Amino acid sequence: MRSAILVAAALSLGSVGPSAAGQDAVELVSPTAQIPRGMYKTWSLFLVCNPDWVAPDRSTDLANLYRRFKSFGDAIGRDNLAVWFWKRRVSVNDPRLVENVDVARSAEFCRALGRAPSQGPYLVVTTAYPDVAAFPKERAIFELGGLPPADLAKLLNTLTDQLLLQGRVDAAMAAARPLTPPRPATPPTTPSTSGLWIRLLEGARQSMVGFGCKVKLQIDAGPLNAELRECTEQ
Amino acid sequence: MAIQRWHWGKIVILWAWGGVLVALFLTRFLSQKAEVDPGISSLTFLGSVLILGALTAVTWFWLGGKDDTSTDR
Repeated sequence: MRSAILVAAALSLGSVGPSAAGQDAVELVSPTAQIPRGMYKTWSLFLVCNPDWVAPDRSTDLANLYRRFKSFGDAIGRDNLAVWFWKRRVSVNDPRLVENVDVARSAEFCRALGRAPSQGPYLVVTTAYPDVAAFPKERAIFELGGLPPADLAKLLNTLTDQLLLQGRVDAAMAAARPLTPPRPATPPTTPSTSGLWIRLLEGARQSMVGFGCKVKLQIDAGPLNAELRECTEQ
Repeated sequence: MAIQRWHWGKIVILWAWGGVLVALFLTRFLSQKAEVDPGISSLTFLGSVLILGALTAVTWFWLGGKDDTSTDR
């Protein structure tokens, strides 16, 4: 199985394919094709549903994001799948690259996730199959739109570590990220109350789960024996 | 002579029902991350705390106390 796929249109016969080298981890399918189910542990969707990102002057930003996606898809290993939506096959150096982004398909996912396109692009990581009609609730959503390149690289590196080594991402990390990118003209904002409360709740939950995992209960009642062992994975 | 007396039967019934409710709430609370549905997580967590607090208060104020041994045996 491939660790990354490129969803592109089948009507691209004769078009210039993506840069010939370095595409070993990319699989081409039609836009109507389903995202591979496979035996993946996670699916990571790069959703470009922000119309601002498909403006001609954002071609460079989009190309950079796509290169990050490719590196990310290769680095997260074969058990994790990264997905990008194109309309057809063109070179990443094509000046009209932005026109090739399948915004409509990304928008379907943004609508399913209840996320405003203006805050995108998004990276959505889920441990269940990402069906747009019934998107799994276990998901982590990261807003990439307002991230400087250095922060984007740091975020993807962290996610790569977690996906490769743990087979999942820390959803609290997504919750801790600001919902909107900080604007230079405004003073720094403090974390919202709801975000703090969510982190407190998650902390309490993790503490309870961790406490439960440290307890080993054994009952020996003659013919009936029961034993609760410590957790091997949370 | 006044002594400390507990209504053990009532306490067992009260805490059995309360324990079931709290167990259900905590199971729901622990079953998913708080980010997925903060409303449900808040409700189940605070509900568990409130129920335990209420059971403690009821037990302390109404199911225990000083009774006269000559009239209540």
